[in-house]
Amino acid sequence: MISKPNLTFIALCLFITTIFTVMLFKTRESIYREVGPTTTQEAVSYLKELNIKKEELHKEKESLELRKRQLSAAYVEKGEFIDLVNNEINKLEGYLGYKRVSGLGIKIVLESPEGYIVSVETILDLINDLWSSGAVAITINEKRVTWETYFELTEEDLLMNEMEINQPYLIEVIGPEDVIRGTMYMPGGFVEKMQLRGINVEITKNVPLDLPSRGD
Amino acid sequence: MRNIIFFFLVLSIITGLLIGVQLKNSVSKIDLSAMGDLDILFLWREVEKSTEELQKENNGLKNEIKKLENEISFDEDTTALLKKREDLKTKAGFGTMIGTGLVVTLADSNQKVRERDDPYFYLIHDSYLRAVVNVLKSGGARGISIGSERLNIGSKITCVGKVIMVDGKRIAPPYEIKAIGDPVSLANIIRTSSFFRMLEHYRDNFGIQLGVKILPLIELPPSQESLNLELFEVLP
Repeated sequence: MISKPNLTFIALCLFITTIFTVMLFKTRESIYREVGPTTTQEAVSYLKELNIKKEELHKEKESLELRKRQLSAAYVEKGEFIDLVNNEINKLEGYLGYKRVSGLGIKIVLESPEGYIVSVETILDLINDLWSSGAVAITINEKRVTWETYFELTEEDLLMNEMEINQPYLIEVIGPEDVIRGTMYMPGGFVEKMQLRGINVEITKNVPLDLPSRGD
Repeated sequence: MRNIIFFFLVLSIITGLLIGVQLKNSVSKIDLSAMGDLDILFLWREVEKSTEELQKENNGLKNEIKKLENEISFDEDTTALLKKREDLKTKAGFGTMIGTGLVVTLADSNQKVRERDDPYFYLIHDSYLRAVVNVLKSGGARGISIGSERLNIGSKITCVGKVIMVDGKRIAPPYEIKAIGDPVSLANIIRTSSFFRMLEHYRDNFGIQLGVKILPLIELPPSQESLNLELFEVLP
């Protein structure tokens, strides 16, 4: 038989019960951020990213080895070497947006039927997607996106380097068209996100582009 | 007496139920190894290791090329040309940059998520880092790094699950965003930025960690990304 209950024991039980009740109803599990993938899906996505990076590094290695062979040759023509460096400088100036560039790419037109202004986050998201799919030059409404480019949103306008950019937003991109298009249309990608917000996205590929420099 | 026995029974059931729910919560985290997906975990580690090795090899090749170029640059004109190229590379994020600036530190909240709240507000997301970079650029930042990764013009900040990646490399919290530029302009832009006001609100209400510190000397490493100068022609 159970003896007369000890009041201290009952109090302790009530105390523990109360703690658990508070923990359950006032909090959830604490946030724990992993620094590696925690699910198979995440690991697969991460692996895909790593493989793209590895492929890029292999290509870079090939070109570096070629360059090294050229430079190590017993006799290097001074003129040839200077031409090589000048060509690189020219390309870098194009890449930085100091000069006009041309190439094949895609055109993206964003338009909201209700005149909804695209947020800074959306534009940053789009530019991030474009760079990550291999874009080498981007313009928005014929203004070149460079290192110095930044965006702000006022009550009525979206500003790019303090200049208003209006709808429809025309984004021209030089880069690997199929990869860029694929990234835009992937499930949960930019096009799907825009459609959910009621913004029309029109993408035209295989377009010969001539993009202005940042000063134009 | 019966009442006392009944009381203890009910109390045991309730306590057991609560402990059970708590335990259930603590084992609900998904663990790859526990799921038996060891193959993919090993493959991922293997690819990551080989990518790092490849990166090191390429860095070694770059150094050798630089050495060979310096040997060839026998006159002032060639040296000046090489310097011009290095300056452009540095502007694009592919050369070491040194200067004054500031560091913005962001980290997830240490607080427990309140029942009524969305856990989203307690975490730092990739979109926050993109927004911080945008704000710093508006303050005239000439060079920026996140963690150990230097940003270049075409850098991408993405996430896979909760893991934030910069140019395909995993970045661990706390996220240190270093920017070289005029510290006063950078600090002013941060003070007036609506995005930073939102972060301060999240800090005050959800406990995310936010810090801004001016540094007299910052050294940003070159970007480890491959510089892709193909696919376009420069027009006169």
